[in-house]
Amino acid sequence: MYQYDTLDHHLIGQRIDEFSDQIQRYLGQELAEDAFKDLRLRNGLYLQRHAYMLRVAIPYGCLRAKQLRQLASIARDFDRGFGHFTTRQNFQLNWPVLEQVPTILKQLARVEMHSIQTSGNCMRNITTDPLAGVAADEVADPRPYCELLRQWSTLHPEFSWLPRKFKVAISGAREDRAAIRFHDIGLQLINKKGKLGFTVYVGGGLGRAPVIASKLRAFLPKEHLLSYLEAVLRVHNLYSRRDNIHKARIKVLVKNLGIKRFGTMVEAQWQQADREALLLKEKDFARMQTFFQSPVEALECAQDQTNTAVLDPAFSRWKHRNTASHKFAGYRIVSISLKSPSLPPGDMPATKMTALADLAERYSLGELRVSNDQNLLLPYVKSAELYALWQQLQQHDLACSNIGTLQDVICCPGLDYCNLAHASSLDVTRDIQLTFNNDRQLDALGNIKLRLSGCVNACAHHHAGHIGILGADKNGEEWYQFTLGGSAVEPVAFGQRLGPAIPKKDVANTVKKIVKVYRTHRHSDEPFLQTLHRIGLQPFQESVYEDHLPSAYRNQPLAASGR
Amino acid sequence: MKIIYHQHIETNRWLHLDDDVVLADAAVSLSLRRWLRDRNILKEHTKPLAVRLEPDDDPATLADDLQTLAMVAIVFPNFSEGRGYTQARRLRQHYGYEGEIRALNAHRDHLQFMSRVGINTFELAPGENLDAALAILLRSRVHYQNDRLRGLEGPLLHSANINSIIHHLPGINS
Repeated sequence: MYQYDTLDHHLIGQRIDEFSDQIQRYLGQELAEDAFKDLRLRNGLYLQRHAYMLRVAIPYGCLRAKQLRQLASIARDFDRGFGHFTTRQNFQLNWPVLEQVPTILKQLARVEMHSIQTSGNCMRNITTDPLAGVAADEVADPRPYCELLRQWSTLHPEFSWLPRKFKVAISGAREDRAAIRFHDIGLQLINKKGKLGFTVYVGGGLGRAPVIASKLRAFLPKEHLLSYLEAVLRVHNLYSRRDNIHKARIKVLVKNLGIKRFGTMVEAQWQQADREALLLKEKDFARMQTFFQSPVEALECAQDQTNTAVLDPAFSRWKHRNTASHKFAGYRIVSISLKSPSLPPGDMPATKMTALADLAERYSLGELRVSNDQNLLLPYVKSAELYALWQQLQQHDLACSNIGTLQDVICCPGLDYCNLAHASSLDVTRDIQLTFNNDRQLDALGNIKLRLSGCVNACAHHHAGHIGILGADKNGEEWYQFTLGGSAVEPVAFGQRLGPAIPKKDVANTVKKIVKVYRTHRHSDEPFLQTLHRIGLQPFQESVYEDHLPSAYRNQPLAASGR
Repeated sequence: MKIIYHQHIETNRWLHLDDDVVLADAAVSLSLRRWLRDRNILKEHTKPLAVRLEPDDDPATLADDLQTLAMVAIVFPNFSEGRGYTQARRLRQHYGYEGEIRALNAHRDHLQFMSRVGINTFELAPGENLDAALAILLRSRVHYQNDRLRGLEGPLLHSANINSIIHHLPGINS
């Protein structure tokens, strides 16, 4: 993992001093509300329904045990004893007090963490594949490039006051687990005749007008990464709209200009840019790569604990659901589900954080990852130690075996916390999780991705859910719009509306009906999306709406994929 | 009116003329539109001339005139405006402009960003405190981006020899 040196520490420290000064001026009424809002947001500080919320970056999802322990300590001392892991590899504290924020930031800095640019109209935390470095299907480890971009984008003098937020994601594997085409810039590492570079996508994003990113450049040699991104950012900074917050994302500019014309403008800026100054040299890459060398190598006698597994069906089930194959023989990647129905998705009490930090040190070389599904991973667990780990996890109530199932709901905080939300999401999610609370039933259904957002801003990426649910407010009542067929992995697609919104009390039952149709029509163990594409929306609509489906929803083709 | 001129507080010597105001026999700044309309007449003007760029003005329009301009002023109409940073950087980096680049309506919290893209004089927003703003500007900093405008040598991201960078930090515009 990346390790701070003097410069990193110095830079984070000076930023904390600066923000502390701004907080003091705000409290002393020397700084106007609007200006303070702009300044606090780019330091990760939101103002929500009941309190401030501090969003801490977990750069590209890499987390050390020591850092998790510190997050737990902060959650205990400055919050209500818990925190929340997000879909963008961030960590949120829901109840910090403004006056204490500088102290929290100092405690974060001690373990090389910060909240810089986790919100506001600037370049946000760079995200990537949570399996980076340990995935079996990797072309190249994306993390050195993530760190280069983290540094380049942090407090960039030219691009700190963009028209709107700007999100960059990198994938280094064959399967895109970072949803790069839902980002303002998506970078896919590829190897072209022995040369590494990126396929560059631009203009993706969810929110109220979801767009799948278009291919801007088939191959960008890696040494030009910074100058090329500078050209894209420059076009965005100069030409994206600033008069309407809903039209200020780069996706709107790309859509209005068309990808070809947009590409020409980027090319013109790139030709004029000082490419030489921004050219990355082999020694720059080499230096970054030293931080991300694999701490393990393949084990020669990769022994499994098959015998024990056979004896213990609960372990066997957990192993099947919550562990994945590793780049190196003898290791497994272990998922820690934060989706037990007893807690909101992604939430974690400080006690569990501390317990998991200890286990990460004992079983995973002190490293963890934050997934884009609001779960955590232990990336370096020896297969031979899985059983021992599982027993420990069970003791701490951390062995919930529902990864990938219908219970593994991706969900925003909704009306409980967020002042943008139109509807609650946590209670509805709990209803759904409790409706499908039978292991055998969940296993039989296989992997179904359900995503639920409490408003059109789509923090839970509902468009990308196999089953997507969007909360809305209708005359003071909460209603929920269903979509089917979304996917964040190739072929990328947005879900298609099933029909009119459904009242809150019927949401869980509607999921039940959808699942029943799937089971009725499914061929053996066919995945949900495959069945849906084979039979279309109609059988689902008939089950959910019976005779009441408005004609506008009839005979709708499923959304085309973004290929 | 006092302004921040490089690293000092000085009295402003420039008049910012609206388009309908008669040319004064002084150092004056004009809108880009007026400049483009009157630049031939303005050749008679004996005092220094400057052009003001609004956020949607393109510095390329000035490319041929830059050597005759003693100053380019960049207007920041509100707190979150960001186009001026690109305008300044383009003037320095692409057009090689070495004259004064002034931020109009600058807030103290933006000065560090502004100075790093090559803006070197600042007229502050109403209500801003000149001494506090200057103190913020002069505070020594480290940055990830080794901005060429700073004249620092070394690799783009941080160099192995951090102490030498930190040593060179004070004197941002020197």
